[in-house]
Amino acid sequence: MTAAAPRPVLPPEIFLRAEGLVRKFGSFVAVNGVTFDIPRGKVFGFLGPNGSGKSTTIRMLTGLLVPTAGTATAFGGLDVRRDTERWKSRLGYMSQKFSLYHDLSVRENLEFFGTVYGLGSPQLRDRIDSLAARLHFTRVLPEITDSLSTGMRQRVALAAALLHEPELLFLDEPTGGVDPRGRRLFWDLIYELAAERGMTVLVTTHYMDEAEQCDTLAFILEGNLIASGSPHDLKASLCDRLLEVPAGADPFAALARLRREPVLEDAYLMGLRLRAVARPGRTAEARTLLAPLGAAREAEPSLEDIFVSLARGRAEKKEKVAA
Amino acid sequence: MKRLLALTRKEFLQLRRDTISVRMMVMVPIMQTMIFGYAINYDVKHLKTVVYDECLSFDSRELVAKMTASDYFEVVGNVRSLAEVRQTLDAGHASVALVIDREYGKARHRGTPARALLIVNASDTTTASQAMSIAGGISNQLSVQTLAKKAGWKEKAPPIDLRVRPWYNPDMRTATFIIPGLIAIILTFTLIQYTAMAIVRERERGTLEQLQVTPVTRLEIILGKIFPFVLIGIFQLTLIVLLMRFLFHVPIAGSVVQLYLAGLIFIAAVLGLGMLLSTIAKTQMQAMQLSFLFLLPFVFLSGYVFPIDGMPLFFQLITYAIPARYFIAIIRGIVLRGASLAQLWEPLAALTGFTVLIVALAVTRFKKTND
Repeated sequence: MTAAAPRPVLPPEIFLRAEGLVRKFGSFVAVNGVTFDIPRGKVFGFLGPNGSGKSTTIRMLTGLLVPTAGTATAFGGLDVRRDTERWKSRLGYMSQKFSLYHDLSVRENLEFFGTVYGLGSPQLRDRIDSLAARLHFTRVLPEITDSLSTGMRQRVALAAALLHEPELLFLDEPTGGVDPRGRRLFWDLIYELAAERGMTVLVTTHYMDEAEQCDTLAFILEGNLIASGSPHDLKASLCDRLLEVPAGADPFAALARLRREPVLEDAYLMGLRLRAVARPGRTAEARTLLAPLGAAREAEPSLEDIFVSLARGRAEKKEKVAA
Repeated sequence: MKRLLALTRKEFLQLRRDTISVRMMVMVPIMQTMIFGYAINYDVKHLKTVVYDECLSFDSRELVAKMTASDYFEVVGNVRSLAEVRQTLDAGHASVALVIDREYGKARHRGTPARALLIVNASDTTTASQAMSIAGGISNQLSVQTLAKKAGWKEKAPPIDLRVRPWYNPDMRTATFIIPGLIAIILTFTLIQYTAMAIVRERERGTLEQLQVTPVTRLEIILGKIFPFVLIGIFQLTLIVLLMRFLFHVPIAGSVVQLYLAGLIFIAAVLGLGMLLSTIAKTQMQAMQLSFLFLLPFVFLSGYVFPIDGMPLFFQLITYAIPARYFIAIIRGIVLRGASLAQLWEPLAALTGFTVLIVALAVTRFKKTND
């Protein structure tokens, strides 16, 4: 920890680099050596089921949790462990929990968080007013936060995270409980900010349509990063293996039968159609197998398909190791 | 510093919205001072007394008159049999019965022992022992007068002239003794609970986490939480001191500055306990319930109402672990006896030691649980 220690310098296109992040709680390994880069000015989506280590990773990257091992570098050379204070002053964070003071007015909340980030009063007032106008909540500035609707609170919380104009924004399930229209508005703004200011965004979400809009995605499962890439690249990994046939008269019997087939990785119902994922390189065999049900055609995979396939692949690998 | 100020301001803004809590902070000290100051009285007078006078003579009436003149006994009825005595006491219509022997008057004149019987409802031990000692005193006084006359004692004073002077509380008022100690109880009552709840609420709401991703340091978070409660503590302390001085007319014999100094140390200890509690409690409800866990021993084992000397050894040992014990000893010393902190160095050292220990423990645990 000497001052002369050489600072790792990132390539200019990379804003944040996480290297071998590990976090243990007692003997439980919540995050098991996660490494990834977040490109500058892009929206990076972090996907994974509850308890997969997503939030723990974010908490480490915000400086809330000290990693058991590994490190993260961002802001052109700051280390999250060494420069925690400066690191925190340059990031914005909005969590899945509604984290404003419910008993203060909207303006009081924003003034408080602004002051905490060291903003002086004329500048702070301008920023509050402009963010409120931008996010359409000027009307509720004098209201007590508790009385706002979920969608409104979420906009205020976003404003609170943006007041100090952070270069890096963490959004931990930001749209939970918000209606589709509200989600739309929210995402439009995030993209605008990323494009306008070159702000880098890391977001976690359960909504696949939201994930679809991210520039880069990373899947995390049981504390391991199992895949990453652009939505397009990720889908490409499955695109010639996903087959679709009409469900037929007894779809459930057909499904049960298909699920036992070693040629297939997975089978499921999608409306009136049956979808089957062939194991890599066995698409032709799968087509033959599905022939009695009708002509199989290649389907466009959704991110959900990718996600399920990745999770299943991992579970099977584990079973093999155990056997 | 600017951040600390923002945190403090925020805390007061929140408090201002919570009008019920604000009222409680003012009303609880006032109500408790009133209740404890007016209602608690160890000096029980006008005990309901029933008389069964078998003698019905001048002498027996003299004994009854002496008893009532003491103000401690008030005759509520005369009965004609022991069965009636029993019935009156059983029913709770009287708590003392005086039975005077048929031969009482004759014995007084003969110069043989004159017999009377005092029955006391001893279920309430405090009242009973007081009645017994007062009655014993009256009979002793009568006996001494009789003997002195017989022996030809010419002096005004009795053969052994022991004078008693009740210092520090010459009127022997219970309120004078109780109210200074009340300062400790009220500070404990409000501050532990409010601090614990304020911190737990922030954790429950997720605002604590939100604060922790800002550049605010842990120390600033802790100080920002505690500072408003220090002010509230000082406010309550002042409120009780004013009520004590001007409503209950308890003079402050010692230094007010030293009283506040000791008060600040105790406030720090109580806030530390509140913080410690916030690291254990998961919800505000638990925080509230846990604060009662502290409150009970603070009230009953601090020497506030029940004298520590009267406790069994085991409980006496426990009292050493209760910071309120030392603080109560200090305030009583300053307010009632006019002692200086230098004279009270022992409880002061113990209180300070405890405070440092509690605060250190609270800060370490706070850091750990919020990591």
